[in-house]
Amino acid sequence: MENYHRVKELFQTAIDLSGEARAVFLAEACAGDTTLLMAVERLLAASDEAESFIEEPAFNLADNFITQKDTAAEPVEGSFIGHYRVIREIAHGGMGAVYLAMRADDQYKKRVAIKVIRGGANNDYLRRRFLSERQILASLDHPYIAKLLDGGTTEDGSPYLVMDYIEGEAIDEYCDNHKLSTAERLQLFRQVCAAVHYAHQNLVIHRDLKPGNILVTADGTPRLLDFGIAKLLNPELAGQTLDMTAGPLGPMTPEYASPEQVRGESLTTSSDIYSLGVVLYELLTGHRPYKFGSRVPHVIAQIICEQEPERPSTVINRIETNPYGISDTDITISPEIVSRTREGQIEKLRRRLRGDLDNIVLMAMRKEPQRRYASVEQFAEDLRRHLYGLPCIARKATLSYRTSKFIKRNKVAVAAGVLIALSLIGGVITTLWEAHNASLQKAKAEQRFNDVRALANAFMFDIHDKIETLPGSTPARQLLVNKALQYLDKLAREAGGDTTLQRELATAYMKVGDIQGNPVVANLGDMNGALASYQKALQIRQALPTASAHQLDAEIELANNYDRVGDMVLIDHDLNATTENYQQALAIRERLAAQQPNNTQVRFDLSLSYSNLGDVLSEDGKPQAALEQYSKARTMREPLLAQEPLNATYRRSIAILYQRIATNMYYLGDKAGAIATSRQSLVKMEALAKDYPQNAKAQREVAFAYNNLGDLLWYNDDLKDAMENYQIGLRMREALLQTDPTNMQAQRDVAISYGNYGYTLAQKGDEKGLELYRRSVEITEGLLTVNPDMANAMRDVAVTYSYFGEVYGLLAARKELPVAKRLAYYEQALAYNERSIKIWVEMRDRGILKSRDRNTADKITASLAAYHSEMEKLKK
Amino acid sequence: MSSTSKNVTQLLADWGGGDKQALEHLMPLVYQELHRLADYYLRRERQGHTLQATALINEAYLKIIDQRSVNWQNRAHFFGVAAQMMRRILVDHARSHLYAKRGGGAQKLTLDEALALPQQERDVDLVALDDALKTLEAMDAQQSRIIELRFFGGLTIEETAEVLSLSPATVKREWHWAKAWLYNEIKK
Repeated sequence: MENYHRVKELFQTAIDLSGEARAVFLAEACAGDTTLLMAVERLLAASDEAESFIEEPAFNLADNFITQKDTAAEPVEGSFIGHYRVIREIAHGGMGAVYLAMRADDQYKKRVAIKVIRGGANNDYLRRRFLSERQILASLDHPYIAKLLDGGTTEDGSPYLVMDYIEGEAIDEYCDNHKLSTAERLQLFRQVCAAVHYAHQNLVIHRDLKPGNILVTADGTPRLLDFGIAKLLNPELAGQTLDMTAGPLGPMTPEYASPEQVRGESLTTSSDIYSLGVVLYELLTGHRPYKFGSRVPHVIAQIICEQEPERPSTVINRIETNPYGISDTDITISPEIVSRTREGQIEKLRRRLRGDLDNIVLMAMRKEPQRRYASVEQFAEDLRRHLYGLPCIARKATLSYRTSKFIKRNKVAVAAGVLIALSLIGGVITTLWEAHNASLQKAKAEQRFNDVRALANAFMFDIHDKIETLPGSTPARQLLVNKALQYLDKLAREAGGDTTLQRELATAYMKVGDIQGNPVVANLGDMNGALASYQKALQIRQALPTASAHQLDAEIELANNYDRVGDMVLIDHDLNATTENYQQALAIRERLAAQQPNNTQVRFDLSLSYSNLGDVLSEDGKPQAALEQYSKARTMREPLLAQEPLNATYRRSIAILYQRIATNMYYLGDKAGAIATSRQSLVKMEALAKDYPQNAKAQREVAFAYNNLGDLLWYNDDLKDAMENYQIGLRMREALLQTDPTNMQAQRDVAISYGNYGYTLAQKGDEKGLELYRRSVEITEGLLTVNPDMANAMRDVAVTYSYFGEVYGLLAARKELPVAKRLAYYEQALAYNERSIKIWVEMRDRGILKSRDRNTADKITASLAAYHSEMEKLKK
Repeated sequence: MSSTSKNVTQLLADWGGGDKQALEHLMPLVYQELHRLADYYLRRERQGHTLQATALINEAYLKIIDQRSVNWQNRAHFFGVAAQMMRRILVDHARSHLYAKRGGGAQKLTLDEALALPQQERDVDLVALDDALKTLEAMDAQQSRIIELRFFGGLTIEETAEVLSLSPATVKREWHWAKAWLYNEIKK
């Protein structure tokens, strides 16, 4: 609402400006608010398209519609369309007319129906299309299908189609007029299925099945009209967003359109199954599955895509007035009326529908094509089984059926749920690929190509993103993304020149990298794998052409990609490579920020570059320079947060920034400042976690903040306060690990907390510290076996060993202990320190030693002298 | 002068004088008359003859308003009400037409709209438009009044400005916006 007025205001100013001036004005006025900018631009575009829209008063339009018959040069009785002589007009509407006609030279006087399409601006295109497609349609030869006999264009250029003339009633009317029982309706419907299945086998999809297209002749035979004609006449049908006022459905009732159809996606045989499901629903219940309160297309689309239809056995209890949403008519559907033309009594009808038929109808009408019957034949077979009292395939929707709703309801079991869903969908994909490789039909292959792509993207974006922040979802995420990657990789090889697909693929690689080892999200600890994935993504992006419609997005993604590579090589402590990648990202973002100074996304991304460079400098032992970069980042972020105080990303990024500032202040020797800054960060983190209690990342970061504050207090010799903070952090981290036990990040977090807490206990002379620290050592060693060559894992072990040695040393110093025990502790202290030294040396030899660790081994070696002398004293 | 005419004239004056209830009584009367007229014209064969919505409203106006006792403001009010009524009539007409297409009746082979090529811009789905207009109404009442007067009432920019006591430039600006918004909404 507020937005409406803002958009209107900008629109009205912008409409008077042109070209450059308009662009400049909008960029400034929207101040980087891309949603607002897009809304205004969309309406400006609509304004151009809508030039003549509603300029002609409504009354005149209605007038034209009614009088069209008189003014247009329409064929009249006795005139010819092609070789056919018109007998009379059967029907007409805004888009043309249908005539009863007879072939002029036909001695059998076979009657035909001719559809003449009016108002087609692209008749040439239609004509060409006719030639290629008509053949396929004309080859459909089935007793229940009205045959397409011929086609062409009239003298004034309007395309026409010639088909069998069918005298009959629409199937719903036929059933009601003849008071067919449920069983009889099912038998008749199965005949319809047979015809549709035949067409599907011939690779023709109807696309517009509804009672009006299924006639029943006087002898009770169904005849299907208009097979595949929707596509023939409107090839744009597939792949375009449905526009119900101007599009294929026109002003007709969209009751029978499938979700994929109203979304404008490409159609498969499954769409026909859906439409048949709706027809059966109506035949069995007399009700329609959806009530559209509005004729606004997107409202209708939303209902079709989201609303679950009521079960047939319960919908019959409803009393509905004006069920088709039309005023001026007073049709009422009641249980009595519905049962009168069916089973006689409502209770009988209810029993008849409950169970199998509920399940069968709703299975055919499922929102996701892959969850419907696999074929019309299977649908018909299930009806047969029901009629013969055999068990049916159709069941109520299972738990995995509605993934998103399921995830919302049941967070704990989510990983398992996704795996179930995956295995189901995976099966479908395999089938699709087999079909693809068999290279059935080009059109069909394309269709499937798109299906697979859509599915892979659903894995990657919809499902993955929904479960990403849930604890315990790491293995499920890995499986999801791997699968998606597999399919996209195959697809990308097939369609090398498709840049959108290449970008999707790059995004897929990025996500795989995240799951393998992005340190800021739950990951599997495969740092090398992550780096390889990020680099692969980067290669794909670098190869993309620079001029594209999505240039800004592509540049933003490219910069992000450089960052990820930088992140990984930073963990590896390759500081030069890190700086190089971060600088690449910085260059892109500085350029974008100069071009679009008001784009918040661009500004925020630029602040990321500054803080990233700060991180490298901090790692490189240059805290002063690091603080300068962090300060730049802070100067950029704080105004963004002031603009959007509830923006979680801004809130989080500032809290993290404070952590880093605190650490580097400490490096510079400002202990009090560091502690104060760290406390500020903790307050921000806790507030955020409180606002997002389900977000594992937010919880993890609070534990992180507690631990960091503990560290600074510890360095400041405030052991009591340090221990308190360590303990809180440990408790939080253990809880998090429990929810996601394979998450290495969580394991490492717990190890660090055990270590800190245990060491501080030992400092206070508490032997419990030894056991706690041992847990830390065990976990850290375990992590190293997974990543034997990673600098960070090695460093973790080296640090842990030397501190564990110190823990032994601290306890060995307790004079109240027996001498033998103290000596044994000193032995352990020496042993762990020596192990640590060995690792530091190995790291130096491998060239993976961080700069601030350069002297660590020497320091440790020097510290050992004290242990030796203490031991000498004790031995005496 | 018929009793209806007297009645309507009085109601219009009352409404103009601030009596809100007068409008409720006024609307059904205007609707009745417009509906009767519209029905007559919509059904009639009128080769080469185009009736303007404004002409229709004028005709209704002349029929049911006592000219001598209304001032200019009453007339503006009347156009406002009439346009609203025209909207109802035409949308209802479109709705019943939708129904006729779906239901079988005598037409066995209906010319299926699914076969239709993309429609020309002038073919507006009145029902969808009406629904979108309701959404607009809730956010921006003046907008919907302008659409009613222009599109359903058939008034020109100048006439609309007169009825709403706005400047023609303002009406034009608002009209552009409303068109774009509705077009976008329906296409969405």
